[in-house]
Amino acid sequence: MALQDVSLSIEKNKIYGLLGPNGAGKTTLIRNITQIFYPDSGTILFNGEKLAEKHQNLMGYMPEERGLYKKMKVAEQLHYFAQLRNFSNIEATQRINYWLKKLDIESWSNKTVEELSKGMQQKVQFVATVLHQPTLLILDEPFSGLDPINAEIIKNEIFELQANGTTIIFSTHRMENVEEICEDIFLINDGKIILNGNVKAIKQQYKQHLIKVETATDSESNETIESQLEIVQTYNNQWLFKLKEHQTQNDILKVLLQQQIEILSMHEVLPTVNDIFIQKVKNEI
Amino acid sequence: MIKTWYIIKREYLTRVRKKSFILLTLLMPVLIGVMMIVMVNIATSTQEKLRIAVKDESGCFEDKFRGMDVGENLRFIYLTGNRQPIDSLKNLYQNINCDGILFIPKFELDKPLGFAYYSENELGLSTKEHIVKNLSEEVRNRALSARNYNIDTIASLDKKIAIEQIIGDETKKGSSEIAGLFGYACGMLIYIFLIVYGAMVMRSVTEEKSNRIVEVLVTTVKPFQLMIGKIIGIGAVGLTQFLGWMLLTVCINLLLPIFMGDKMIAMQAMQQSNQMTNSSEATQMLMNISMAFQGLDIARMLLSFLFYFIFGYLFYASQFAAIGAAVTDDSDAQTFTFPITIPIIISMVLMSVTLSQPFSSAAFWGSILPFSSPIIMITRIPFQVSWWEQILSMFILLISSVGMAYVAARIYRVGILIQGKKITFKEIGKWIFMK
Repeated sequence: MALQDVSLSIEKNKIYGLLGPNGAGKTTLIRNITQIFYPDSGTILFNGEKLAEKHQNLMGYMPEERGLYKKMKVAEQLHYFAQLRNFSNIEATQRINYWLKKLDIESWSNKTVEELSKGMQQKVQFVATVLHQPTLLILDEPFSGLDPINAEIIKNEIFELQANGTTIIFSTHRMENVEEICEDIFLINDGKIILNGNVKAIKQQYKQHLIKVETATDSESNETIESQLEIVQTYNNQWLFKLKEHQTQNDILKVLLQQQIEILSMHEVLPTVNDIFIQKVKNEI
Repeated sequence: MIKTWYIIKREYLTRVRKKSFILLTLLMPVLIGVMMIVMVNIATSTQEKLRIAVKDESGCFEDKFRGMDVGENLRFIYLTGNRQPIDSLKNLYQNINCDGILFIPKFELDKPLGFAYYSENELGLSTKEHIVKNLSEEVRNRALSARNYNIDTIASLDKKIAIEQIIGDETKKGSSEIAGLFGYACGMLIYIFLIVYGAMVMRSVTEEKSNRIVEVLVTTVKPFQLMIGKIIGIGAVGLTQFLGWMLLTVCINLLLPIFMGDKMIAMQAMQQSNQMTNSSEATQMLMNISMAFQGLDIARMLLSFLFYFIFGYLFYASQFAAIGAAVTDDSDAQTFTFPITIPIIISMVLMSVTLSQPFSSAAFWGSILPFSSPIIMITRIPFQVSWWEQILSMFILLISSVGMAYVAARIYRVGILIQGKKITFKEIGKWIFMK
């Protein structure tokens, strides 16, 4: 997929989500950053310098499709990747031991990759990506194939890397991960960036002014409520209202109290990144 | 540079450590050794302690049979003074520990008929030939004597003509056949190497592409480094295997006589008595072989072989690597490798033309063009090809293989990242010029 007029800036020490439907150009963008491909026009700057070969060693890239030699032993394989990152034998061994211990996979070091489960291979791939402590880490669907416990372990490692100064670009389709992990997102479609910014700010920007109210009794509407408020949905003891122009949450509260309805909770419903993603992509089409 | 070295190391070590590699390297010469032992056994088994009684009614062959024994394996017991007719003797040979009886009747020199062998087992081919040859020779000599010809004079008239070849001002030593055979063996070796290890490079590239390792690798190394590292690593595996085979074959050849000594001596004796009774012929042949090797200029041959071996491999392995990178499945691979293998197969056909006419225009162009020069030039060199032709051929191959590696790298760098797409030659052409 060709990219057009893509312009974005990435701050140090932040976690970015790179979102987009299949074939939107995410992988092409990543390949440009990792210098697998070179753009026909435009420039990419890294730490203020024009992107060059020397920056490759400051990056770590974990592609969506895992790439490991199936017949090679785990430790041997990691050693090979470390050597390609210019580590000496001693340093490579030290780092490999550190990471294998950290992720509790020391006992696999002498196993060949084909002996490991998909999730186990994922952890080995993660180690291969972060072994050289990259300044910029690009992860493409890092949680696929991982059980919840191992996904949590990798998530914590991602946060720890960020705390130690690594910037992370996180490409995924799993929106719950984006909300949980990313501070900022880029939404890419048809080779163009169609949305970018802080997750919280974007959610505010795309909010539908929906208010969810939970009452003590089942929700039963009446004429007074319907004449003053816009009801989107009722379900058991839950109400979903849409604020009219110039209305506030207090106005909803007032009407419900007048009707002597006991209120248990009330909060604004913000759109999920998933909702925004679908809405933006549909609008683009 | 160091990264290319690590790639070479990985490609090399992962292959030479494989059980299949070790087994094949060790087993091939052992298999050849076993085959030789079996052959020696088969060849000598028919000769094993064969004792033949000879009833010679003509009385012409007494002297002849004294010198016809072949070691311990073939003994002739010449029955002297025995008056019994053959009809009664033919069933009694076992009483004197013989395996059969050879009957030579009284015969006319013009019509030597009635020769017979009585036994429970048939004579082996070589034993039969040995007997027939010696008896025929004796009959011939007697027939010549009967006509008052001097046998020694006739033998001295039996001259073999040798043609001395003078190339330019130099006299060519040795025989063309032996030189050709040597060239053919070298050409064949390069041919096998190109096909087997070229295909191995292609499979390895396709494997890395299909399991996406390449996406991780190209973020740390240049695609060219990756490709060239793979080509060199696999080439080194091939060289190791050939060297291993050669070394083990030499060892087995040295050890074989220790275990099979007596049988081999018997076989050699048999062969010599069968084929080379004329000692001057045998000496001439041996001289030809040794002179052919003297005339070969071993240093030139060895260095040329290494050169054509390395650059021929680079030329073809680059093409195989490019194809491996471009295709996504095996059926595609077959379609694309076909055009590459055609020149190699044509080279094989050209090889036989080269052997019979080493200075024909087909042989000349075959040894100049890089597609066939690694096989054809090495076949021609023993025929003392002029230096300018060889230097031209080497120069063209050097430039072409480097050029081919460059073009292949351009295809490779794009191809390895293309997934699930049907590729055409036109598209591959575009990749070469892609920025």
